[in-house]
Amino acid sequence: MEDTATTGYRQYVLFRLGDEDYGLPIEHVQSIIRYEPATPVPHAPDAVEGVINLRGQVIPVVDLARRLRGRALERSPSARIIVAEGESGLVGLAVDSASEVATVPLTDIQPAPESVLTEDTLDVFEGVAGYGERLVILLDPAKALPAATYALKSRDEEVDADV
Amino acid sequence: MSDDMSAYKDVFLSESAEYVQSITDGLLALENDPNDLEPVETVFRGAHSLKGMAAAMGYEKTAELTHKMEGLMDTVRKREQAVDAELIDLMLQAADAVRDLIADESSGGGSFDAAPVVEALLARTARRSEKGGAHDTDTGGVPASGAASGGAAGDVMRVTVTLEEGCVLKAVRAYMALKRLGHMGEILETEPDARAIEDERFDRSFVVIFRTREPAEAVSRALLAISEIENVEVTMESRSRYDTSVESTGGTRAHAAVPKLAEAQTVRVSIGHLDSMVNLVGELVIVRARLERIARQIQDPELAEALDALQQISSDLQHEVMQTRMVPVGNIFNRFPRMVRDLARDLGRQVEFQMSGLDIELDRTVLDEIGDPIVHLLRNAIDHGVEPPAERTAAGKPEKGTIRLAAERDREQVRIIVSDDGHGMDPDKIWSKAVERGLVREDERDSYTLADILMLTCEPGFSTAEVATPVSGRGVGMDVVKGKIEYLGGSVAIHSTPGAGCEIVLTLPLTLAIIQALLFGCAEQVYALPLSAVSEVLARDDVTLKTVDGQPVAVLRDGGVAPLFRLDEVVGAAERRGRMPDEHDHIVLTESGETARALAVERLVGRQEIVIKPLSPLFRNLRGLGGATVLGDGRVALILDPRTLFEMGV
Repeated sequence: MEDTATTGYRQYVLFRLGDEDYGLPIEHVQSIIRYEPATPVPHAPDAVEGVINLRGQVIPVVDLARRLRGRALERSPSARIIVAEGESGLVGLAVDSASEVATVPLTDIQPAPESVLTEDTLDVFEGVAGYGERLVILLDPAKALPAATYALKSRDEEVDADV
Repeated sequence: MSDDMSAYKDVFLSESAEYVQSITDGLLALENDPNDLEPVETVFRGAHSLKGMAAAMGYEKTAELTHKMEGLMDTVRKREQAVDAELIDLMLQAADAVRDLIADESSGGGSFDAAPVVEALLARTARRSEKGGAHDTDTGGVPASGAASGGAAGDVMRVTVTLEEGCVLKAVRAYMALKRLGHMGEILETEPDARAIEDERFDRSFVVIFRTREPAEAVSRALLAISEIENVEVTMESRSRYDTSVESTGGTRAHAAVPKLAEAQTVRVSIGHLDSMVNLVGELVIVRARLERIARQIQDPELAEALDALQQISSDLQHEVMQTRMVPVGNIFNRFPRMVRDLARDLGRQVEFQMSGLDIELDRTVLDEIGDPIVHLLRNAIDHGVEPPAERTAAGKPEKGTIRLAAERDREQVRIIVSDDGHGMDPDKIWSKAVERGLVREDERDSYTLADILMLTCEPGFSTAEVATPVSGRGVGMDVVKGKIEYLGGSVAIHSTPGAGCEIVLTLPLTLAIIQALLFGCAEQVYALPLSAVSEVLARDDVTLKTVDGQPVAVLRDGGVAPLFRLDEVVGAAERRGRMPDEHDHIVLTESGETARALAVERLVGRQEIVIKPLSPLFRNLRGLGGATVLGDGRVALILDPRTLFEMGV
């Protein structure tokens, strides 16, 4: 990260949730895979979709739309899982689509307008940056990727295991 | 150090640790029976071997220290010294110093000063009685090469060992005999060869060609001390036949000091390699399950046949790999006698410490983790279990308390039991303390069984810093013990008889990586339950179901009653519980710790070997899950934890 900071730009993997664009620093992204339904984990926090098999490793998948926007997203064929490396190991982030890597000059990064922030997103948004026609919401990886304590903080609600 | 030497460094470090251990064991045995000559010999041999090995590695200070230890033990061996507490303490101190010195010298050296110990050893050696003064100890200095215990000097003997008729563990006895000979000299040849002996491919006797400086009587005496050895015959061999081979392997090479047997039969492998082998075998098992699924769709007899063979090979391979990771519990138990001795002395207790089941094997990863919990339990037993001598006498018990550490195997599990004959645990005291700490409410007592109350000591926050001794109080650490054991997939049970002592039972799985599991389904999902927790699977019609207080229970064959849960309710919403099973459900009887419960499942999938994958730390706070596994079709199935399964979502 120091490297990119001194050279004045940072690279983000761009993805969409609904009609909004988000960016996650590329050094936290391990790979992007096609979306697949996860095995639900009973009694897990509601933003956790479950677990999937990533080449023999079992990793959790978090519904980012539910986490950031408060509602589950509908799966289209373009849906992807971004495999990101957080402090509690690999985590899959379910998103509507993910395709590009954007190089954003540090000078282009603006603080997120306070009026749009909610209690849930206050910590998570690092800032916003214009990228072509789009406005990209940049995520703070340390906050956006669930940490081990996250399970404690969240409400212990039902996942649809009982259907 | 040259490259050549550094290649031997790891071997030296682990071998030397073993020798230090055997010296410590020998000293403790000697402390128990000062007239027993055998431990004297063990300690002497250990120091002697260490001296040779250390000199070969260029660890001069270690070589000097062990040389002095050898010198002192030599005077004991010749009965020129009495074995007293001071001698034992000095030698134990010296053994500790050897360990520290080796650690120091292996990392460059210079920071550990062994001079005071060396002085003390010399002073004590000089105090020998004049009776046997004509002998001098081996003052020839430190040998320059590693050929210390098995150099070209000595006689070649042909030792014929005959085991008792009906000896059950022939290979073990033979191994002990070879090991003992290995310590006394150099094994040149065996008939049949070492491999055949190891595999028990011999009748009642085998022959060892052996070079030693010891007299023939000493050799046969040492062997006859091993139980189930009926007869030992020693004859002299001509030396010439063996001399050439010795010259070429002896001399300057460091590992000549290592008994030959160890080289022939064991290889030291890093844990990293073993771990990755286990992972690869795990992947193989998953791919195999996948192929089997495809084969069922294709229905090709040739493919089925090839798969059968693959099945056989992969399960053999898996078994072998798991075997390589199995280590006898003795490996970690062996440090406890010393610890118990020192601690008992510090606390003014008299303790007889007994261990059993040292050869019970556990997976290395499990074994590495249980050392600390056992230390906690032993400390508790000394500090809070066994009373001070005066109190014991007043209670009509022998002054010396007994602490037992036992390991035993039960199916796919190993039990480790720490027991003492102290005053036991007082349920009333525990209860009032738990109330005081806010863990329970005063008026709840009736709903707690005795076992529940004892388990309160394992609750976090049960014991606080109310520590009167340097050792933790019973309770401090018990939550840590329980946490660790449960993390390993095991369970803790406490039994106590006031006035007569208490017993703590740790039940552990043999291995962590691959287990036999029962797979069953609920809606779309498949769950796995370790087979070790399943006692029976029955059709719903074969089980008598009743309700107690509105909650369903299964009546067991022995008349006992097991609370019954529906899987869909356990993994589902908490508010919809307590319904009777559906008509076509299967009833899985489970047993965990000492509680029986019944689980109603919609669909049985079958019994399968599964590879346990850890769950992300995100799920750390969830009860009921022991991990996950990947099924043959690539899907993930969650592994239910039999101990906490029924608390899921509650």
